[in-house]
Amino acid sequence: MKTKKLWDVFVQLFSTLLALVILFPILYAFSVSLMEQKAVLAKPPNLLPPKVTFENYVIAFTRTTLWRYMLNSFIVALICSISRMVIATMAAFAFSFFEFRGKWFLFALTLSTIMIPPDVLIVSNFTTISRAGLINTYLGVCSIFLVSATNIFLLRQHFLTFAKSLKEAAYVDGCENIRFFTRILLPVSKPILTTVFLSSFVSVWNQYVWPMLVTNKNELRTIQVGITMLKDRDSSIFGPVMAGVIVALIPTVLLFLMFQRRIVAGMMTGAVKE
Amino acid sequence: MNMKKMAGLLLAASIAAGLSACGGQDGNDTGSTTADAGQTTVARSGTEPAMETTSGRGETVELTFWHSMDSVFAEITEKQIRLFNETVGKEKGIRVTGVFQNWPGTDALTAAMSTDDIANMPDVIQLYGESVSIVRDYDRTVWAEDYISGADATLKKEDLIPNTVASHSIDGKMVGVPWGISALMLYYNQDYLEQIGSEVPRTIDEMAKILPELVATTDAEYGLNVRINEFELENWIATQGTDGTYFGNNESGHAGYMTELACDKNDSLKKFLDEWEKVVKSGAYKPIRDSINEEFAQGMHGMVIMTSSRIPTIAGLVDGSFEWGVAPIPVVDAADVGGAYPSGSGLFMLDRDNEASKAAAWEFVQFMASPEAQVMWLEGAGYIPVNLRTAELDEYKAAIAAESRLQVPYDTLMMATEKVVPAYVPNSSTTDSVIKDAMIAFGEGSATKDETFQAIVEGCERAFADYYRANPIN
Amino acid sequence: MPSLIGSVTGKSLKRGASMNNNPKSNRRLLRSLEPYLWLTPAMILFAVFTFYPFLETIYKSFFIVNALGNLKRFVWFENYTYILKDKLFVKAVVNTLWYTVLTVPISKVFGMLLALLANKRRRTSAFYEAAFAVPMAMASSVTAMIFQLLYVPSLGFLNGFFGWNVQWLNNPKIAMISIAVIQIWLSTGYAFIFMLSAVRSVPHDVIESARLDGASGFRQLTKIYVPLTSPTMFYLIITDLAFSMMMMSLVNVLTDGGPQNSTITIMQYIYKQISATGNYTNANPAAIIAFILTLAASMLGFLWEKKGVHYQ
Repeated sequence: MKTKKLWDVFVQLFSTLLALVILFPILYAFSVSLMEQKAVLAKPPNLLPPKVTFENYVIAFTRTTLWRYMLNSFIVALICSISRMVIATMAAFAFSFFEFRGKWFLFALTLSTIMIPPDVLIVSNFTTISRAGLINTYLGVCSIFLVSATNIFLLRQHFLTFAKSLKEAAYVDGCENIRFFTRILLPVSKPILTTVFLSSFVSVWNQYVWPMLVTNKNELRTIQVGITMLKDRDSSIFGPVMAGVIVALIPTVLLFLMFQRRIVAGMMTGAVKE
Repeated sequence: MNMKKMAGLLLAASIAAGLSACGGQDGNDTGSTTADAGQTTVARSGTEPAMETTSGRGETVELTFWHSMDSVFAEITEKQIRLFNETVGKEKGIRVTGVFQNWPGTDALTAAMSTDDIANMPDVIQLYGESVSIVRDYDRTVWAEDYISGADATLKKEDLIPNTVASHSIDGKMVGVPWGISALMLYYNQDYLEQIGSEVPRTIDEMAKILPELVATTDAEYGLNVRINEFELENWIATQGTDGTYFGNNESGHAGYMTELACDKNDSLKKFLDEWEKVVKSGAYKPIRDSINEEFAQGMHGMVIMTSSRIPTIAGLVDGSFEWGVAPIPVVDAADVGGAYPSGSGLFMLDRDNEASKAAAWEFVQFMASPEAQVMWLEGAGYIPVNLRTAELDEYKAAIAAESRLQVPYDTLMMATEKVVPAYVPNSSTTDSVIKDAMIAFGEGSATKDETFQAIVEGCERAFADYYRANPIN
Repeated sequence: MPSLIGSVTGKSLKRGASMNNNPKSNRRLLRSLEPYLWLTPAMILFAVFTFYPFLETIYKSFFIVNALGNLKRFVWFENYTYILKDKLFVKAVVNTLWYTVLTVPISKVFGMLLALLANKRRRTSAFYEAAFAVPMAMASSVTAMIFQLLYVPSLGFLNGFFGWNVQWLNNPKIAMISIAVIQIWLSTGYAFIFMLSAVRSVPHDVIESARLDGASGFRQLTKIYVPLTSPTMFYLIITDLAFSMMMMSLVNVLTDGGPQNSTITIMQYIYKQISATGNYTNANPAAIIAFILTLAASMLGFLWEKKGVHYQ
């Protein structure tokens, strides 16, 4: 129908415009990364660089070993997101498919971990890691990020929405718990697991304080630390920082686009139909 | 099943790769004490005095240097380190690695100090005045005094700008060595001043008078822009009197601990506020800071007051569009000594139970304060070389020829006396906020002079009480 | 074969396992331990990296503690009364609550609206879906720096382009709102991607039958979409609540607690106590109080779970 088509076009137009508005800060950062220092804050303000320069990117890559930092960030984020995914699915499985004594208490305990201010834990964790001899190691950097209560919570929410029929069906089949877990639950939860993986990756990728604290060798620093080194605390020279920001953004955005289809495929609905 | 297996395999592979990758590179110093143990046995095998390094045995002493320099300052720091490693370092078998720590550079240090974690401490660390309180009573701190007065030292106190020595001394003994020093300066738009036919103001009174003229006659939106934090206020206190004035008691913390303000009792705070009121009342003063560099460079302000380290930045932004210069900040009273105090950071050494490292650390520190290293500050940054003999170097002459304004901060520091020093203020981040809020309110006209005085005094008192409650002096 | 849902009470042993043989009762022991085994990795990590340091913090909060973390003097609750009397800390609490109220509801509503907007797959979907979600990939501190540029009153883009003269970060009345805007931008992206997933999994037949019944868009929204996506929404609200109460990085980069302490949050307060002055004596009780407040806020959220959240 004509009105439907018109509506469709209108929605797309509106959404695209809205998307541009939302993307604006990032586009602006990209534009600034290509500007000379004089042009960044000027009257009238510059949206686009009056003269495009790649100087900022050159500075970003020569002043710090950005490649190395990105590699470190990547390894750490990868290890941590996989770990989080595995541990969270296991814990959420327990919380949603079992009845056991102390379930509510343990769940509350899990949730309470997101309400604890991380700053006061840092020094104590530093001491623990130091005593374990894990300073300046990837494992040391990953250590506090290996599990996330938000992931457990999210997966628990997801698992609880499963039609009771799924559980019954598997039960009738006489499935062992582990087999149910690996053969049915996980494959069916691929979209949400992808989301968990992605958000964990991003979260760990963006970490700054802990990786800085627990490494005191340049080879092990992560990308966010690198960006801080490009900043000029004193007189706010923005160009190189924005260049670093854009460079740091690329892997996460790429990852996003790769998995986008998977995430929004929608969760399983009514497995009995299968 | 497949996904889990794959995930597990990937996890195992990543961990293995990650651990082995780091193991291979940092094998000898993954936070354990094996490296130190190795060096200790080598160093201790002869009970020679502290100045001996292990050069004879062919072992290189590895030093860790923590700094919080970013941007172009980090580049220059790396150049200095490289130069050391290639000259003195090669000669004496010392190699220094610079590691960036987030400003103010003390988080990792205090974390290591709390458990005496020597392996994760640096040999040399850059510290700003606010952080000196952490190390002044720490038994692992190696006081520079012990070395700089030694017969073998190539760096002597007389080589350094006098008030930089005083600013790094406690009870007359140097705790650290000044390294990255700048001074508060007045930047002025020469073209605008000429338009109103005025000289560079020497006192606050003179400055307050020309502010309305600047706005009326030139394109400037404001005659003056400066946000007064603790840094600026301290400068105006310290430069008062013919000899300099102390901001806090016990010589501003340089002869004992600073436990209360002195500027409220010695009248200097009141005098400053009296004069500053004229600036506020001029109606041409902007008390908050937005993007002061760009605003000045685009002619929005007639004058601004900020650190000398921004001279190259301003030069780049202005790019010849108008004439500008720097001068010492206007004084409160025409008879004041004026100048500025040396602000910035110094290098401090830590004892990690290794005599060779200590001696090597001193070699490094005195190199960093030498003319060769200090002249590098002029090539891209606006720091002031602390070593008096820097002026003899060709590089210095070339740098001044290229940017003559860099000479002024140096002269300004030399103008001041040894009493014009930054204070070791406890809980300075709180006192800084107190002063900033009070002076902004004053500048915007929402607080009177007396209310501002009260706010500053009371706020600082509270901050000190808070600090000493948690860190009692025993 | 053993049943799917294990139970401690042993009701599920429907296949009639005898209780006399050792291997069988071993298996029963394993069955009853099973849930705990699934939880073990998570609990161990929590214990080492969260519970242990936190208990240490609680313990230390009753002492005067110096900058190196050494206990100096036992003072019972004096530390708590001390910081509760500190006007700055009280302001921090008020600011944090105000900030939470500003950011949490709005970002969830926006996230939901965007998800509904993007629900149907169209030709340009890939583009705007990705765009709506991208804020989620941004780090707080980095976003703060970008907005810092935009917010510069004299020469920044926002004021310059629209001809305004708003003191975004210098006006005590609106500084917090300016910061909240940044957080809303960040959180909406996160909320969007989860809500999109949830919205897309609402069964088509339910929507169809509602439409055939003549239900308007609004009724579809409130009677179908909202209830069916509530588990995800619940997750988003609870986690964002905790996250907002702990906000610090934006304030740290942009305003350092100013102007006139209008943007200082609890975490910023704690951070400054620790990092700038090494004052653990104040930081520890502040952290405990922050925890209690967040816990209280979350419990309110859980009360809503009973009423408003529908699982299938």
